[in-house]
Amino acid sequence: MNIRRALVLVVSLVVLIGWVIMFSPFGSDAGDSSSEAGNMAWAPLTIPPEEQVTVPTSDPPPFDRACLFRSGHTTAVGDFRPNLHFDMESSADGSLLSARHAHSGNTAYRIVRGQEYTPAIEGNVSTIPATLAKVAVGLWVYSDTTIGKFTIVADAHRGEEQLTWMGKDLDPVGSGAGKWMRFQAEFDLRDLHLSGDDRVRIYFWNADKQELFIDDMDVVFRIDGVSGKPSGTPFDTEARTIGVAPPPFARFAMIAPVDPHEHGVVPGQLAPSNTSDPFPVAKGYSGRLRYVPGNATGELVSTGGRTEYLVRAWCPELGKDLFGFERVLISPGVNGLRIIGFDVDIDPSNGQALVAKDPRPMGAECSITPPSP
Amino acid sequence: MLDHSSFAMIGRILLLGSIILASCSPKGSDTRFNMLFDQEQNEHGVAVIDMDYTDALDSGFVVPSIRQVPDGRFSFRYSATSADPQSKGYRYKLYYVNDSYRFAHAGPDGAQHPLAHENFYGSWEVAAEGFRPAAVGSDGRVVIEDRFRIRGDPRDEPGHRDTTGQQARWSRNPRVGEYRFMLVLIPAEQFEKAPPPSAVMNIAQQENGRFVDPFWYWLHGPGSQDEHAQVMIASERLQVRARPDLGAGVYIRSEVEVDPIAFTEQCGNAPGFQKNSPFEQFIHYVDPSTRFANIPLIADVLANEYTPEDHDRYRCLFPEDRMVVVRPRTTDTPCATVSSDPERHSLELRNPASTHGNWRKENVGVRSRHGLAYGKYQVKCKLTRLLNDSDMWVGITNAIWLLYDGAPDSLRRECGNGGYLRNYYGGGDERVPRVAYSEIDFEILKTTAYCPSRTFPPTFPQTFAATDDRSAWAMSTSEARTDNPGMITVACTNWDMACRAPENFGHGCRPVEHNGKTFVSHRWDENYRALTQKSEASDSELFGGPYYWFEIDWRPEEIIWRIGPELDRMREVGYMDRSVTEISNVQMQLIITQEYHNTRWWPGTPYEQGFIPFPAKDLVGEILEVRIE
Repeated sequence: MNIRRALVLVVSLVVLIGWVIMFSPFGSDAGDSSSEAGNMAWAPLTIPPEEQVTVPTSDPPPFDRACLFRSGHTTAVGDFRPNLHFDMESSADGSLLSARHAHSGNTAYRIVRGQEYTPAIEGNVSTIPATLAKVAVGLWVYSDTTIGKFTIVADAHRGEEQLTWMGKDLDPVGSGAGKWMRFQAEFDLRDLHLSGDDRVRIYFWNADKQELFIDDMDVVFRIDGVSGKPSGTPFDTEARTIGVAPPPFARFAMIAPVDPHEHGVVPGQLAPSNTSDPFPVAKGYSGRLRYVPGNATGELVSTGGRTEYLVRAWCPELGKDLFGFERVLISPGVNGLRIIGFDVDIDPSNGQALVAKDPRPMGAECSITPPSP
Repeated sequence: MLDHSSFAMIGRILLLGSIILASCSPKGSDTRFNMLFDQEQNEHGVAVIDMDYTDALDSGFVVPSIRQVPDGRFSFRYSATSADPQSKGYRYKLYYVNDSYRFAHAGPDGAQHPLAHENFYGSWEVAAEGFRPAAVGSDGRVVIEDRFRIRGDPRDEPGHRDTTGQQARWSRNPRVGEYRFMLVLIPAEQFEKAPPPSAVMNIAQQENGRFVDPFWYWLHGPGSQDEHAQVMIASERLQVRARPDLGAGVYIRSEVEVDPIAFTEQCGNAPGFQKNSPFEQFIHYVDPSTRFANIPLIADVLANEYTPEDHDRYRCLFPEDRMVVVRPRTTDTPCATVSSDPERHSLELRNPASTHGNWRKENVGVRSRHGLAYGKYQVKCKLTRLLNDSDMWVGITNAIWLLYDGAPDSLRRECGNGGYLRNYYGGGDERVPRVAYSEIDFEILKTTAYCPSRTFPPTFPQTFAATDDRSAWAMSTSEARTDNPGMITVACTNWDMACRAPENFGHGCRPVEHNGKTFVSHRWDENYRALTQKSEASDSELFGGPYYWFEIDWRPEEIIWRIGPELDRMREVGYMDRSVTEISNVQMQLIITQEYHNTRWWPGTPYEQGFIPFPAKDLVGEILEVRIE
C-alpha cells in the first residue's frame, strides 16, 4: 500500500473513531446536560455548591446519597429522615448516573434498557416516631422515546408478608418523547395500621424495560401534621367552653430601622443565641416582652407570669415579621425595644452556628403597647 | 350542537321554503306574514326586548309586558288572496319557539327529537285553545291581524303549581334568546274534515305520554306533508334579554326572623324590595364539617401584611391551644355586608373585617330571584383580589355560579344508566331517576390543578416544628407553591350528580376538544357528583383592574365558560358537552359570592385556610352589570 494512502486511511479511521466516541449513547461525556424543550414553565435548576452536600442513607445506589439541604431534617426521636431528596449527582455507584440527560446539575439516574425494576428506598416504620400516614414521591422522568408503562410503586411488608402493593402509572397522555416530565404520586397508608418493624418500600416498575432517566426526586414519609409540634386544644368559638380564648395581639410599630452589624449580627460570624430574658416594653405598662421561638410570636407577660398579649413583630416598612427568623435578639434601644432577626448556617467543619447571609439580617427599634380597649 | 349561525341559516331556509310553499299553494302569490315589532333592533336586524321584572316574581315574566307595548301584546299580520273566493274561510294558529336554547326539532330518523318536548314553545294565551277562524273578505282576501304574548308555562302544565295550588308561571319562565314565529293556516273545510292531531292543536295535551313539538310536526313531521296546510315562518325574530337592575335594592328573605338593624333604604325586607329587587342576599348553608382551627391573627393580607413564609412558620410553630375553631360564617345582620347603589346600578359585597374575640371568616353574596333555563350569563364585576405581592392567598374563593331554583315540577330529566346520586353532599348514596339539584360554577382561588394526573398531588415535604431551621417549616420546595406566581386557578364545574348516561362519562383526567383547544375534565371517581376543568389566570388581570367579565354560556347540549376584559375579547376557559356530562335542564338562579372554603375541599392547595389570618379590613367586591341573553 502506498504510504500516503495508508496515512490518509489511518487519519480517517482516527477521525471516524473520534466521531463515534463523541456521539456514542454510552459515553459518559457525550451529549448535553440540559433538559429538552417541553416544560417551559419549569426551567432547569442549578444547584449551588453549598447545597451539594449529601447525607448517606441505608438504601442501595442510586438512592444511597440524599441531598443534605433538603433531606437534613430528622425527627427528634428515632433520628428518622422523612424527606429525602435525590439530585442524582452523587452515588457510590457512579455507573448508574449518566450525563446524557439531566433535569438539573450534570447527571441523572439512568434506568438501562432491559431493566424492569429499580432498587428500592425503604422506610422502617419502627424508626418513624409517629404514625406513618402517607408516602409521597415526586420526580422528573425523561425518555428519548415515548414512555410506555412506568409505575411508581409503594409496598409494605410485615416480615415476609406483603401487606399492600400500590402503584401509580405514568399517565400516557402527554408522555411524549424528548422532554422532562413531572411525575408525582401519594399513597395513603393509614388503613394499614403499620407498626413495629413493618417496612415500606418505594421503587419503580419499568414494565416495558425501556431506557429512562430520573432526576430531582423527592420521597416523603409523611405523618399527619407537623413533626414535633405539640398538640393542644384550640378554643371553640361556638361552644366557647372548649379550650381557652387566646390573648389579643399587642400593638406593634417600628420606630426606626437598626443596622444588625452594629449589634454583633454580622453574616459569616458567630451567631448570638436567642434572647430568652423578658424585657420591659413601655412606660405605664408592667408587662414584659418575652420571645418564645417555638410559638412563632412573642408574648407580653405580666409580672405574675401570665401571658396577656401576643406580639407579632410585623414591620410594614421592612415587609417582614422580625420574629420570622431562626433567631431573634432583643435588647433595650434608644427609643424603644430593639429587635434583630437573623438566620444561621451551621459550619460543617465544626458545627458552629454562623449568621447567615441569606436572608439578610434585619432589625428595628419598636414600640409595643397593649391594644386599645 | 347547532350554533346560532346554523339556527339562523335553518331559519332562512325554512322561511324561503315557506314562501315557496305559499306561492305554490292555491293560496295566492301575495301572501304576507309579518310580526309587528316596534322594538329597537340589534346588529343582526332582530328586534330586541328586555324582560320586564315588574311583578315577574309572582306572575313570571311576560314578553311583552303592559309597560312595554300597549295592551301588553305583540301584533302580527297575515294577508293573502284566497285561492278560492267561495271558501268558507280558514283556521289559523300562531306558534312561537325559543330558537336559541332548544334541541333540534327532528331526530336523525326524522321523528321528533327525543328531547324536543323540552323546548320552550307556545301559542295562544290559553294553551288549550286551538285554531282561530279567519274569514275571506268580499275582495277575496284573507287578512288576519291578531295579538299574542310570550309567557311562562305556555303549556299550562299541571305540575307548575305553587304550594297553594295556584298556577306558578314563574316556575317555567320564558327563556332568553331569540324567538321564531310560525303561522299555520288551513282551509276551514279541510280543517273540519281532517283536523290536526289534538296535541298539535292543544299544546297542553300530550300524545303517547309526550308533548308534541309543533315546529317538528309542521316542519318535519306529518304536518309538513299536509298539502292543505300553509306553514309560514316569519322573517322577523325577537331577541329577549334579561337585564336585572342592580340598583333596585337587595331583598332579605324573612321566612325566619332576621335582625333588621342593618337594613337600609336600599336593602331590607320591606314590600318594595320583595316586589322589585331582582337580587337578594345569599345566605350560604355552612355544614358543621367545614369547621377548622385558625390562627387568631388579624392582618391585612392584601396590604402585604402576611407572606407565604409567615404562613409556613405559623403552620409549624403556632401553638394549637392558641388557635380558634371557626366555621365560615354567614351574616347575623343582613344588609350589613351587601348593598345596592341606585345611581351606579351596582351591587357591593363585603367580607367583613374581624376584631379580637369576633373572629370571622364570613361569606357574602347575592342571588338572583328569578329562575331561568339556559342563557348566556354575563357578569361584569370587580371582585376582591386574591393574592398579595408575595403571592400569599387571602383565603377567599370568588364564585360566579348558577344554582337550581327548586321551582315546582322542576326535576332534571331522567338519567339513564342507573340514575343520579340523590344528594349533593357527597359519600355513598342511592341512585334515583331524577333529582332537583343542579349547579354550574366558576370558582376562582389559589389552588392546584388535578390534571394531568401524573402531576397530582404536589409533593409537599414533611415539615417540622424546628425553630432554628427555616427549611424545616418551608413548603417552598413544592412546585404547587413556586409555579406560576401571581396566577390563580379558574375552576369550571358542572354538577351532574354522577349521572352515567353520557357516552364518555368517566373519571380521572379526560380531554375534551372544542374550537381547536383541549380542555381536561376531572372527576375523582364514578360517584363524584361534579366534573371540573381548571386553568390558570392572572389575579391582577381578573381582579386588579376596573372590572372583568365572566360568562357562563349554558345551552341544552353544552356549557362554555368564558372570561375577558371586554365582551368582544372573551376567551374560553371551560367546555363540556352532553357526551361527557349530563347538562341540567331546570331553571337556575345566578349567585355571586366571595366565600371562604375549608381547604380540605381543594386537595393540593398550597395554603391552609387555618393559617391565613382573619381579615383586618373588609374585602370588597362590586358587581357592575349582569346580562342574560
